[in-house]
Amino acid sequence: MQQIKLFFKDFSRLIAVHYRENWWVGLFAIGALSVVTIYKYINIINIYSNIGWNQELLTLFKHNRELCTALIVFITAVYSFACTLKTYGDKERIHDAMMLPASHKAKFFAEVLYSLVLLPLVMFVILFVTDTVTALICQNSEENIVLINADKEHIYSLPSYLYAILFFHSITTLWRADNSHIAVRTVVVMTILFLAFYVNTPLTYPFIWSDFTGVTREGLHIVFNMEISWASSELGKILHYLIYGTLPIMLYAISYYKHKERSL
Amino acid sequence: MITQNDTTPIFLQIKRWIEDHILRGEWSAETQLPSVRELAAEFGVNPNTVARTYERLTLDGTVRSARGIGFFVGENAKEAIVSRRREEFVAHTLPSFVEQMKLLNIEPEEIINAYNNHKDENRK
Amino acid sequence: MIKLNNLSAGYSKRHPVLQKLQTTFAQGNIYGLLGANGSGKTTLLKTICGVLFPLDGEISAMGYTPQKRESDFLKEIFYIPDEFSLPTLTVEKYVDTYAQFRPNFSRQKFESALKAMNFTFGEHLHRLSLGNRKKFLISFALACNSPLVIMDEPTNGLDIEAKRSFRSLLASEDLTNRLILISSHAVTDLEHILSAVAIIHDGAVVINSTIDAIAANIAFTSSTNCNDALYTDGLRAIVKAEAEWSDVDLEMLYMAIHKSKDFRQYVIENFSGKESVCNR
Repeated sequence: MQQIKLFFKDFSRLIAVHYRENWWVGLFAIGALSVVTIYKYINIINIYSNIGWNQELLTLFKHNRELCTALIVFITAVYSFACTLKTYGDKERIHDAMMLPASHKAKFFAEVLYSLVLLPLVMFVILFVTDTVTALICQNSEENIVLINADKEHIYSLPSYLYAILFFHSITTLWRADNSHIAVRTVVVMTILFLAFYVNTPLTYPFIWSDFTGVTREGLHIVFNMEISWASSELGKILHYLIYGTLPIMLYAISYYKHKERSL
Repeated sequence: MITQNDTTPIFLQIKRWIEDHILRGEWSAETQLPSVRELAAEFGVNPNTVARTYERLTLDGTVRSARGIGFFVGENAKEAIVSRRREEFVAHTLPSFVEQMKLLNIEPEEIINAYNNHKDENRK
Repeated sequence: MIKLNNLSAGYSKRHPVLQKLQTTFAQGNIYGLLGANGSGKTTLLKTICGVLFPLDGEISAMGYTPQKRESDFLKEIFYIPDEFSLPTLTVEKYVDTYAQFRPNFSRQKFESALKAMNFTFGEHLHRLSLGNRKKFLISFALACNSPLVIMDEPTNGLDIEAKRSFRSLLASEDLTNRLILISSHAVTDLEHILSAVAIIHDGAVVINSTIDAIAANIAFTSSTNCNDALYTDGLRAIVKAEAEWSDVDLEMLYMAIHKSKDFRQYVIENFSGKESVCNR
């Protein structure tokens, strides 16, 4: 019990340390997303008033969500970078967090919380609040059901976004790895997530021109625009697995040679 | 007060400083002296140095230490200092002074005159 | 308090900066760590802190393995690097945020140290000049009352008055079960405040001894009347100690060790012991 209390004390202090210095970065990030989100949804409301509910509007909703989610990922990544470079990339601040008397666990979880969880969580909240408000404005019970289902479809693309978030986080973690097994764990988690979910989005195929034709109740459909052989599509998959898999390892290596002082 | 140019060991410089205070009557018998750390902070030296000063002063009898309380000016400290400095003067300063007198052909009368003038000036 | 056991440290396993160090640093001392640029002073300090990992051998500080960076170890140590910058906070916010991690932090000690060094209040920390930054972190470090305080070139950037105050602050520290380790080129700034010194030469600790022990063995005098000087630079000489105490001239000691192999040999032979064993 004592250990847990100590952990939470350390943990909350570390969060305080982070936000005392970086509150403005977070505020700016949330502000940016709010502006974009609200703007895009106002757009939807306008279109609704012209065409009412139909498939197009639904598609627009989907695309919007995807855009905003991608934006969340992007902003989280930039946020992580900004905070990291402020201290760990900076030769003159590098020792601060290393030498801060707090347990490794507390440092790791605090890091995960404010770069991976807290910020995206707030931003997802903004996204869903805007969703709900827009849906209320465009009220129609049948379409609302579709919207709710659309929620689930949206989740299918979440794994690759999750991967991207973790990927960026691994960069920042590895860059200043206090503890190498954090980095290793991150890579393992990423790999498992990636393999566990049937990812079926355009992002999955970086070398093959692909397109998605829209939404059905089963999920997003991908249509390949050109004639490809089985070999090319397999090669595409292998390549993307390689890229997604080895990039963290490469970063690990780069981090090692660049910052040997870290525990690697 | 602690100068780089003075080649006397620092702990003796501090000793002299304390003795001067006693000679000038600023610290009379049974006055409590600054603690080792206070004096060390004053001069910016390691406390070990000041400890050595106090050790020497205790050996001389100028100062006595009360365990747990501090250091105090001893009885007859002033006289003790004066008599020891006299001894040093006679043993070291005087012979080389006389040597210089011989080298420079200075007569004893010049010394007596200088001494008297100095006494008069001080009275004014 | 700090034990080096066959320690090799540095940035590359093939060319370690420090090789096979075997020595201890005892508590109750204000230690000076002297050595040429690139000799490994900062490397040693960082290895003691746990920022750098040993390439070979072991190091233990207060019973902990620094490399593990355990929270309990980090609480007992404060490291002031040579170059550092401070966050975008005010003095107040900094203390509120960071002092929490230091259970023995004394607000009053912090403020009186800042005043003693003539710190200019009012600015955000990241905008402070080098001198003020140093004053700030030194005051904060001393106010944390950690058993082990490590400073890398603390006087670099301090004005004359601040250097005097710095010496006074160190002199007032209670050193029971504590160790203050200062690495510096500014020998004259620190000469009289040190109680022990370690000199690094060629990747090894040539001498690690208290000032008292050195003064008991060798004396520093003018070179006019000595025939068997251990070392001389023309003006001054190092000889075997006589009855009269002579203050240790650290600059001379340093130069002698760096310039004279014979003197290094003498030092290694005469200052061996638990505190200062060297393999070179």
